[in-house]
Order: sequence, then structure tokens, then C-alpha cells
Amino acid sequence: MIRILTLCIIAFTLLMSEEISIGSKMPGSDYILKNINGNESELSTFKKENGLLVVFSCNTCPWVIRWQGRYNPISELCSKNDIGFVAVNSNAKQHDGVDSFGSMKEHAKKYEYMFPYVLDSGSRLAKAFGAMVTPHVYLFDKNGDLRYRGAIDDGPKRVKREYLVDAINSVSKGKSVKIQTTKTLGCSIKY
Amino acid sequence: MKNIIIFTLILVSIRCGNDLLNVKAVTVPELYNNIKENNVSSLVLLNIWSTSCIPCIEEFPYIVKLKKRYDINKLDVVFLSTDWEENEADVETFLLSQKVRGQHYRKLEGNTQEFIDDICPSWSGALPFTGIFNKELNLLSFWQGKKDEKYFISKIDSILKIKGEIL
Repeated sequence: MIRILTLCIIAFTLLMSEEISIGSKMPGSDYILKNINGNESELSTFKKENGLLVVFSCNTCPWVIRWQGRYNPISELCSKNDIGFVAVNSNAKQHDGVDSFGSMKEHAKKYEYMFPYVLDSGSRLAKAFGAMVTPHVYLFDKNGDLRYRGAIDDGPKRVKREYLVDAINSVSKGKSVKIQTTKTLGCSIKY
Repeated sequence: MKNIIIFTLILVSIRCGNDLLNVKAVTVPELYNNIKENNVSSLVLLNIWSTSCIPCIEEFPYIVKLKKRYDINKLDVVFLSTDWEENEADVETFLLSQKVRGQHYRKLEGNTQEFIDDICPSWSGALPFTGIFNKELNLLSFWQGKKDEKYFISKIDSILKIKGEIL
């Protein structure tokens, strides 16, 4: 009996879109994404010499709002280390509502985004990444290999571990990332 | 006579206790111990939610209704909020608005990664999360994100059928 149920759980887990693993090449690098500045460009164009940070985000998720204050300083850190930064809104089910292109523009203006914020039409990129939650980050190195995925830090309050900052510092120096994957609570991406 | 009065008082206090709302901040091991101590059901449905998660709020009322649909010997429903400590009052206000009483839980602030993995290593952390456990609290089935009432009922019924508890 338990075996049957265990098999059901395994089957269910396999059916869920699998998240890309550490060392994987950046998926969907040729996907066209619409930036709030009006430009449409491939994901790969946001990559800089030392890599690319992809942040799955949105306009209303309370966890995104809690971590929102980290976005600009992290984009500056990326810039300083010649790593690209792009925030992606993959909530396709809400692209006609709270996560519409117009709302994304307003959101970016309100929080003074210093980085590109793009619309992932049909959640194609999120599906290619196996991303399921916002906020969630994926850091690729200069070769386009995934070096860190997960939470920004262990906050929101009393932050003890700045996972992403540590990963950016390591990747930019070509060093190995100590903590490569983490998890955090957040909103489900609305495919 | 004295014994009868004491017995009546105990019954009244138990009854009142069930009518009160109590939200306890717990770690996952504490949650499991609390459930095990009081559980009489074959299956335990654990719903992890938050007042700030709209899909969680939307599915909450029909999860509450599951308590009435299934006999307590078959299914118990347990709610665990992931609200931060500062939103403790919002949790109680919401639960009262849903007319739910009894024992409820809130995630103790701390290591979120450990919390997620202790519940289910395959869980991404996306809310809401629902898991169906057996009496020994082994996870039998889980899903993340909002589902409709029919989905909940079909999942519960299919597990009860496999266990031979419904035809």
C-alpha cells in the first residue's frame, strides 16, 4: 500500500517541471523578452563579460516586496563586477491584470529600478528554468553555466547569510560558490 | 456529588477549549509532535498558507469545509501559517473571520530552508502548499499552488480508496 503511494509521489514529482541544476547551460537564451523601456531582446543580450543574474519577480507578491530593497544594491554590485542583471515577470496568468506590462512600468518607477524588467510572455522562460516561485534568482557565470540558484538571503529581517552577494563575489573572481542552492518561501509563478 | 461536579467542569473546560482559537508558533518537529499527540484520523491534510498570499486566502474556505465533509476518523485538517511574527494579529483576525476555532499553527521565524525541507524536500517554497500525510505523518501526496475544491476531494478520496477506507 505504502509502496503504491510512494510511487504516486515519485510520479507526481517527475511530472513537475524540473528546475535546472547547477552547472546547466542557461536555457532560453534566445527567447525574446519585452523590456519596460519598449525594447524587445533575447535573454542572452543582458549577459555581461562575467555572467548574468536572472531574477524571477513580479509586482505584488509580498515576498518580492519584502526583498525589493535588495534589488538595486545587487544590480549595482553586478554592474561593478561586470555581471548582467535582469528581472523577469513570468506571471502569464496575470499579464492581463496586476502583472500587466503597464503595471510593470509603474512598479519599476515606484521602486526606482536601475535594471531591465522584462515580460516573459506565456511564462516560457520560467518553464525553461523550472522556476516556480518569486522571488527566486539564477546566477550564471561567464560561460553561461548556472553557479547559484535560490534565495537572495536568509532574511527578510536579521540577515545572517547573504547567499547571492557571496555567489556574485565568487563568480566574478572565478572562484567556486560555497552555497550553490537555497530555498525560500514565496509566491507561486502563475503559468 | 463532588466527583460529578469536577467531571462536569472538566467536560465544560474541554468544550470551551475547542471553541477557542489558539495559534501556536512552531518548528516542523514541534508541529508534527503536536499533530501526533492529538490525531485520531487516518489521514492528515496540512495546508500551509499566509494572510498575504491571495491564492491561499481564496482556497482557504473550501479547505475548512473538508472538515465537515469527512469523518474525523478519516481526515483531519491542519493549517500552518507562514506569516511573520509582526502579522500575528492578522492571522488571528483572518481565522476568526473564517469562523475557524481550535488549534492552529504559525511557522516559528528562523531557518526557512530547513522548514521547507523538513516538510517536503521537493517543495519549491511556493505558497500555498498542501500535503496529505498518513497517521504516522509520512507524506503521501502534495501539491503547491492554488487548486479547486474538486481537486482536493479527488486527491483525498483516491488515497482513502487505496487505503480501503471508502468504496
